Amino acid sequence: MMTPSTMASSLQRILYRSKARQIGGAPLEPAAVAGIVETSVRNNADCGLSGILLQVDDTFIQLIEGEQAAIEATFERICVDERHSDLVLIDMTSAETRLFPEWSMAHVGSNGDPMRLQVNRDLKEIYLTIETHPDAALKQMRSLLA
Amino acid sequence: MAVPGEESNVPVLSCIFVEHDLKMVLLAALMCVVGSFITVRLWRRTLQASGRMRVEWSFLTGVTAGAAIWATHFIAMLGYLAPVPITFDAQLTIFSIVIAIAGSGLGFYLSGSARKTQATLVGGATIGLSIAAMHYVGMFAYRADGVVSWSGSYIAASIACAIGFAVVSTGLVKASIESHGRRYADLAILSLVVAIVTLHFTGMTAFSVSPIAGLSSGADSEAFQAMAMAVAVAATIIVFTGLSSHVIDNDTRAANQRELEHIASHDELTGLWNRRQFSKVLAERCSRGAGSFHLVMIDLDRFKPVNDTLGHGLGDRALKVIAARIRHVLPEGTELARLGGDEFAFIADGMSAEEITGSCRRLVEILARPVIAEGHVIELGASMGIARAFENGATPDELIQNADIALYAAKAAGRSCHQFFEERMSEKIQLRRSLELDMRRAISRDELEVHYQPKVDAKTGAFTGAEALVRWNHHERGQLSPALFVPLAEELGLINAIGAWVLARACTDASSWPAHMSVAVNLSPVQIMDRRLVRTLRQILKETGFPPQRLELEITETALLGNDVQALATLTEIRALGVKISLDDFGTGYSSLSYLHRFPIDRIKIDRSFVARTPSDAGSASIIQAIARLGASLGIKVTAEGIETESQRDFSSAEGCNELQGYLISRPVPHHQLEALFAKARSEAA
Ligand SMILES: Cc1cc2nc3c(=O)[nH]c(=O)nc-3n(C[C@H](O)[C@H](O)[C@H](O)COP(=O)(O)O)c2cc1C
Repeated sequence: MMTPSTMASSLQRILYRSKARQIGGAPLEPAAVAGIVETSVRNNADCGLSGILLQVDDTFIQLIEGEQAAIEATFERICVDERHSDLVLIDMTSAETRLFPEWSMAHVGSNGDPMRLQVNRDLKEIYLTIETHPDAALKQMRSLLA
Repeated sequence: MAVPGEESNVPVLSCIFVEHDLKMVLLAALMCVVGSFITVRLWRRTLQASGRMRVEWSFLTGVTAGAAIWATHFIAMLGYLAPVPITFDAQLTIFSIVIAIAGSGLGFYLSGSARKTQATLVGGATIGLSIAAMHYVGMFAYRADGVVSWSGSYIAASIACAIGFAVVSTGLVKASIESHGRRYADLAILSLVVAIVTLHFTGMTAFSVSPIAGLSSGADSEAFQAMAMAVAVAATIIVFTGLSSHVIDNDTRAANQRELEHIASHDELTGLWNRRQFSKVLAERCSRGAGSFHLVMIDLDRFKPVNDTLGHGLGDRALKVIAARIRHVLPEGTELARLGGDEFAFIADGMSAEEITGSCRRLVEILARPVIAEGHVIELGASMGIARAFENGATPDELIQNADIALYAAKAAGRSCHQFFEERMSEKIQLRRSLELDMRRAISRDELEVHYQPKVDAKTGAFTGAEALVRWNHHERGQLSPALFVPLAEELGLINAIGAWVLARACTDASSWPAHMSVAVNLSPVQIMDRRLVRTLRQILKETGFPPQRLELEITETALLGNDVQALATLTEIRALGVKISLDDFGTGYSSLSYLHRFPIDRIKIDRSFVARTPSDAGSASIIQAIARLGASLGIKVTAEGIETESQRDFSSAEGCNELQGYLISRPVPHHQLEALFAKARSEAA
C-alpha cells in the first residue's frame, strides 16, 4: 500500500484525447469499450492509477493519475493500442491530490438515451473546452460522477 | 594363458575363450569401449585447453580413463576362471587405480605439450606404461591360492603393445583436432581399446596358476563377488561422470558461444539486430535471388534536438521505446535492425505494397505519438523510404542506396510520411550532383546573367529603378530559376561568390541609368552572416564608382531570425556606407513588426501573396492598408510586389504604397531591354 504522502510526492496527471478506430467503417462496439474499461480497471488498480475515460461520439478523452513510472508504462501501452488513433496529448502535470481517487477507471460515454440528455450535453461541452480550458473541463468531468 | 602341460597354437586366444567367462569378457569389453569413447572426447577437450585449464582437463580425463581401464581390468579378472580360490589385496588394488589415474592423467597432459612429435611419443608412452603398470600392480593384488608362474616374453610383448597402441591413439587424437575429422577420433578410440585389451589378455597369457595338490579348489567367496561388483559399478559411475562433465562443458560452451553471437549481432540498447547482422541477412536475401522483398529504412524526425537538449540518457530511453513500438506494429518475426543513431531498417517479406503502405502509415502514426520518459514529453516522428528488391537494385548496396534516396524524398516531402523509391528520385539527386559541379564553374564560364524588373512610382507611374535578379544559363539545361539553384549555392557555400558577382554586375549596369534611379539586389541570409560582406561591398562600390545611395539591399525576415545581433551589426555598417536596406516578403514572417523597430530599414516590400488577393479578399486588403499606414507613420517606404492587374495597381497606390513592381509593369528583362525601356520612357516624357 502506498501511503498518501509518498503518492503526493510523485503524483502526476496525464490527459489526452484520441479517436476510436473504426474497424471496417463500423464504430467501436460498446462491448469492445467495456472490455477496454474492464482491463483498465484491473491494471490500474494493480499499479495504483486512477482516472476517467470519456467517450464523446467517436472521441476518447482520458485522464490518468498516479505515480510517474506507472503512468509512463501505462501510457506507452495505450499509445501502441490499435483500437484508437490520432492520439493527442493535451496535458501532463504534477498534481497535489487525485481527482478520481475512488475510481481505477471511471467510464462515461454519450449515447442516444433521452434520459441522459444532461450527461450528453456535459460531455459535448467537455469535448469542446478540454483543450482551451482543461481545468474547467476537469472540474466538469469530476461533476459527472457526483 | 598356458595351463602347464597343455599346448595351444594361439595362447592368447585360448586364454580369452577357454579360461574366461565370456559374459564377463563382453562386459569388460563394453566398459573398455565406452570408457575409451568418453576418454577420447575428454582428451580432445584437454588438447584444446591451455594453462591451468589443461591441467584440470588432464585430471578429469585421467580420472575417467583410469577408472575405465581399471574397471575393464577388474571385470575381466572377475571373469577369469581360476582353478584356485582367489582373494584381492585391497591396498594394492586401490594403488593400481591410483596409478591408472595419475599415470594416464600425466600422459594426457604431456600429449598436449608444444613440440608435436615429442608430445605424441612421450604422452602416448606414458599412457601405455600406466595402463601396463596398473595391470601388473593389479595382478599383484590378485591372490591365487596356487602355484603362480609368469612368462617374461609375454609380459614384454604386452607392455610393448600397450605403449605402441597408446602412441598411435595419441597421434590420432591430435590429428583429429587439427583436421576436425571424426574418422581420426574414431580410430583413436579403436587404438585405445586395442591398447587396453591386448595388454590385458597378453598379460593374462603371461600369467599362469595351478592348484597346489591337497588344497580343494573352492569357489570365490560371496563377499568377494559383491565387493567386486560394487567396485565395478563405482568405476562405471566415475566414467559416466566424466562423460556428463564433458556434456555440461559442451553445453556451457555452446551457450557462451550463442551469447557471444548474440552480442555480436544485436544492438545493445534496443535488443534489435545491429547493422552488421542486418547487412549479413540482407546480403543473404539478395544472393538467394528468388522471392522479392522490400527494404524499408526508417529515420526518426527531430531526434537530434532531443539528444542535444535532454541528454543522451533520455535520448536512449526514447530510442528503446521507439524500437518497442516498431516491433509492436510489425508482424512477429520481421527482420528488424537498428542501424545506428536514430536509423532503423527492416525487411518486409511476403507483404504486398499495400500491406507495406498500411504498416508504414501505422508506424508513422504510432511513432509520432509522444514518448513520455522521466516526466518529459518527447515528440518525435518518423519518415520511411522503401526499395523493392531486384526491381530497385539487386545488391544490398543498391537497395540501401535507393531506400535511402526514397527516405530523403520522404523527408523532403515534409517528413512523417513514407515513400517508395522511384527512378525520378534518383534523377533529382543526380541532377543535384551534376549541378553542384557545374555551379562551381558557372561564374568562370560566364553562365550567370542578371535580369532586371523595373519598379515605378505609384503616384506618377515613372520608373524609379529596378530589382536585379540572377539567372543561370546552364550550357545544357538552359535557363535555371534561382528558386532551384540559390538554395543549392547556399548549401555549397558558393552563394557569397555568386552574390558578390551579382552585386558588382548590378552596380556596373545601374551606373548607366538615369541618376535618380536605384538598383535593388537580394542578399541571402547566408551572405548576411558572412563577415566579409561589408568589405566586399565597399570594394565593389569603389571599383564601380556607383553611388551607395542608389543601391538597395533586399533582405528577408528569415535572415534576421535567430541571429539578430550579428545581423544588426552588419546592417548598421552597411547603412553607414549610405546603402539602403529593404525588407522583402514582408508580412509572411512571425514577428515582422518587431523587426521594423529594431533594424535600420528604409523600405518594406509587401509580400506578393497579399497583393495577389486584392482587392477582392478583405483580409489581404486590410493587411496592405495596415502596412502602408505603418510605413507612413514610421517613415519607411512601401513597395507592392507582384502587381498583375490594373485593379491591384489602383488599389495599392490608393492605399498609399509608394512604389509598384510586377508583371503589369514589366517582367524581368535583360539589361539591354531595360535600357531600352528607360530610354523610351524618357523620350515619351520629353
Ligand atoms: C482509449 C483507451 C484507453 C485505455 N486505458 C487504459 C488504462 O487506463 N489502463 C490500462 O491498463 N489499459 C488501458 N487501455 C488498454 C491498453 O491499451 C492495453 O490494451 C492494456 O493495458 C493491455 O493490458 P493487458 O496486457 O492486461 O491485456 C486503454 C485502451 C484504449 C484504447
